[in-house]
Amino acid sequence: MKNEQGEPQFGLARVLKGSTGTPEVFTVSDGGPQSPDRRRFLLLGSGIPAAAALAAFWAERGVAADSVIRAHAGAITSLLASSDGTVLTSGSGTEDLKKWMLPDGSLVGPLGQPPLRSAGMWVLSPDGARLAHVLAPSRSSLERQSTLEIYFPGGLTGGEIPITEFSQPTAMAFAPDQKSLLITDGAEIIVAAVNPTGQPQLTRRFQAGPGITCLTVDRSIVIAGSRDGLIRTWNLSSGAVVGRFNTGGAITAMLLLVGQPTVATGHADGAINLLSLGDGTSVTVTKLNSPIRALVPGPGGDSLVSGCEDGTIRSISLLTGDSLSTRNLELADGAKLTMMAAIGGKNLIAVGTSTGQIVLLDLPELQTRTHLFDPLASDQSAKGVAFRILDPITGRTVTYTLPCGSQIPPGATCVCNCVPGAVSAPTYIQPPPPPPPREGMTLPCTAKPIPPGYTCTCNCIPGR
Amino acid sequence: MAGVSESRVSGRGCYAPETMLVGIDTWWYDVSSTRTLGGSCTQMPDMELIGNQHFVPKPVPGAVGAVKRANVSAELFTIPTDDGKFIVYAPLRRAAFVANGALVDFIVRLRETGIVDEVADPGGLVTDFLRNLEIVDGGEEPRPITEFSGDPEPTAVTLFLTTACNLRCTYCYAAAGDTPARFMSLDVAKRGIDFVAANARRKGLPEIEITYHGGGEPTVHWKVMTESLQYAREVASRLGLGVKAYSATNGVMNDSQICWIIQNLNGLSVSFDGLPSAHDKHRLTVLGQGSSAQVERSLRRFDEAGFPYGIRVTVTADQIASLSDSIRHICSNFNAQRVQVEPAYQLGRWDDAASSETEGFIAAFRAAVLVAAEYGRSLFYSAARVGALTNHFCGITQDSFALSPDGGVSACYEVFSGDNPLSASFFYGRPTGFAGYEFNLPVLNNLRRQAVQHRAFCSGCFAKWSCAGDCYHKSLTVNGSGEFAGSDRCHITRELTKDQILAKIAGSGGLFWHEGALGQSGVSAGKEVLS
Repeated sequence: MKNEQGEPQFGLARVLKGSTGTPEVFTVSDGGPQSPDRRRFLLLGSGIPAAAALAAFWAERGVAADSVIRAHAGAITSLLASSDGTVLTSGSGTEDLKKWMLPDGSLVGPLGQPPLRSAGMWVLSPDGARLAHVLAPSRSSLERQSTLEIYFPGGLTGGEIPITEFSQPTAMAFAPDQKSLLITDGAEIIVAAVNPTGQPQLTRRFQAGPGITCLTVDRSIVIAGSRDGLIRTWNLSSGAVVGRFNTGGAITAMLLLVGQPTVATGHADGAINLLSLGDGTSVTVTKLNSPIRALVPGPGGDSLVSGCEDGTIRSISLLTGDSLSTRNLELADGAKLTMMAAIGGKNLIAVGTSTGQIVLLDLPELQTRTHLFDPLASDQSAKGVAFRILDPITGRTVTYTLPCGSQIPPGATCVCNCVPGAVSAPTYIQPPPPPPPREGMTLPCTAKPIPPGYTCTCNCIPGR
Repeated sequence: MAGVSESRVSGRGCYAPETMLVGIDTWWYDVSSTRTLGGSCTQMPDMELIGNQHFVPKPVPGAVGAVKRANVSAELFTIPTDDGKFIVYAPLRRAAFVANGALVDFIVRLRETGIVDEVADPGGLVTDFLRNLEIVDGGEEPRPITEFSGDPEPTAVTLFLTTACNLRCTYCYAAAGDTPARFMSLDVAKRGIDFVAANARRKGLPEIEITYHGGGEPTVHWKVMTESLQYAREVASRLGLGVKAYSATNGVMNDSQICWIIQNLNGLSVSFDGLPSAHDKHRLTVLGQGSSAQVERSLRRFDEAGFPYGIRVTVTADQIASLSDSIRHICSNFNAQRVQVEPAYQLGRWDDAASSETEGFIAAFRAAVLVAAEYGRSLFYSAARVGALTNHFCGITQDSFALSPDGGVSACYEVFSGDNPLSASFFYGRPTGFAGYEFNLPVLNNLRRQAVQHRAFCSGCFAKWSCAGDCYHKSLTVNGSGEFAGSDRCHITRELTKDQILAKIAGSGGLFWHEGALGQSGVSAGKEVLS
């Protein structure tokens, strides 16, 4: 063993040769065990212009460089609605958590100072008074220790505690008393007590899996759904097994029905079942064509809303099992629905997708109210229509955003103004069917009401 | 170029803010050039001086063609590839891509001026690409630095139970068996356990950690190994704490020891060199016989019980050629959670042997990685760990608390006895009174200063936030007490780190890797329990 010859110098510095021409990025391929000459990494092709790498950046995150109105650059991984339905918090990948005002979905900004990161799993207590976060070690980390952190609304820090021998969380849930938090990595359930100052303390951990995908608590009973199709229940305080119920197929979503010993289960094969925790009876309510990604309560507690991976959203009556309404989000190629959240007291749900979209839908009609829009997360070509309308519930005038070409609700006012100082001339054309055909007309973009039934086609909202 | 011809500015050119027609090499005015121009450059009022070399255009808010500013916000390294390209690596953003020289220079100009070269990036998309990787306008980079001060308050203890060993490995760094055997008393172990348990209680941590390690084979001192863990459990129970226990071992043990380990330890690092022919050449019993059969028997028992263990493969120069076969033997027969491969350390009985820290080792490691991949496994080399951002290579810079058989406090697993030649550098405490320890803070603080942010030699190395300065013991072995000046291991580390960066890019779609900066809570402590 001996010293090196001179200090290593790899800091960024000018390239003396080969620095002319177009900036390019090169593709790296892992040749794997069969690579030629056992050379594992191959630099392919002659490079692509670095300008085009931006599109690849978005594509790698499931985001096409298109005109989609986005809330985040990448897939939505967290949607947390406050209990009073006035604030929505969203997260994606390693981006900052973002805070949106409801019901209009206006962007307030990142949550917390410094901003809290989306990475990991987040859950909100039922009363909205605590945010719990489990940050797992990176996949390449040598450690197998996660961290449980508690925050208050607004991003203020409560306390944190390490969770040893614990990697990626697959589900989390607060108990109804708000004092206990359950976390699982699929195999083990960890119970943490959270005191009023936000300091968590681990109180119990027990083997519960394998393959737990969803978790909830009914009073003192822990309920977990798994990929093996089983619903298992335990006593929260003792960890003793209470019950074990077979629902038939891999469980991908679960909802505890209010006031009933019944859980709705969503399955990888698209089925939605109702399981009685009393007698173990499981009934299939409906069968959709794509894995169920989310189940949330509908208005009044007598319906639920399911979200399928392919973007199909269905409202189902719990009284009759009938479908009340169905909506397809018409996702872009390859895009998937990833998250849903019910917004308490507002008859609204928020739907997140793998392409960074968050859409607010009115219940029970499942009509789009608005798309949450962050220009910095959207492509330059992102365009939409912004319009102002009176919220009949609050009496406030709010501004909503829809994809370019969307129909504006009757009585809405276009507030397009794309280019500062320029004359904007949005064109309103007829939608099919009536009102009777007529030529398109243009109006100044100065808060003029749009005639009922007309569609705004102006490109109002520039990206960046 | 509008306004001034290139020839009038001695080939450097002049910036014309109204047109933005500026070339890559026409951005700059040096002071001497502009002085010789006198008043001939009509754009001078729109220029400002950056540092003492360059004039750059002032931004004109709202004007068409106003300059676009951007801030290079990442610590960047460029790593040349074999074919004239460069890996651009932002370790603290956990981001990388392979670029041509033009893109590297584009970033250099951006960093120097804060202005986007609109000739090279007319649509701003190159800058946007860098922005999305947090290389541009990404805000302050969190530096993965944790530092220690004052008296140490460890909550983990390593016990060097004995210098005696039931093997006589040819490459043993400890030369175990050649020196008078020393054994730790139970009282020495208890004092250390009491100390870390009290610290854990005071710090409100949920558990303590106890690790058994060399110089000799820990299981040889079986009585104190088992009784000390029993004692740790009793103390921890009284204080409401848990206990995690680990050990290093050569794997030569009897059935009852295997059962006890399965029932009582949380993990094990087993030294095993793979192919029986390779293992038995160097890992010999006291009677000079190969030990592979006994080790494999232990490993099979661990596998049957689902017990978590790692394997450490030591590669001597003569075994480099068979490393792939050894890895195949391990992967096809055993379920080790981690396989660590290290070149043999030229110390102890291996002091005068041929070095295996060679290009041959790198090539063999790369080939072995491919073999491991066939079995869905990966190999680990201690100083190449891209993604695990840290300023600590091991515990010596973060108050590692290891007790020698006579109770002295060492920071290093390789300095396990007070009569070690480097003990003055690594022994920083001794027992005092009826309980506790007194610490030599100058020695301890010198160890703390070996964290990578203090190493001038490492400042320009792209691997510094993952290698974290490598092994201080090895550094001292090469340099004596001199300033760290790298070693043959540095080259190995950089080559394998480069592989890992390329693997990250390839595994992220092939064009770039970007996981984003780690928060402080995500920073690895750099502790290697199983090595």
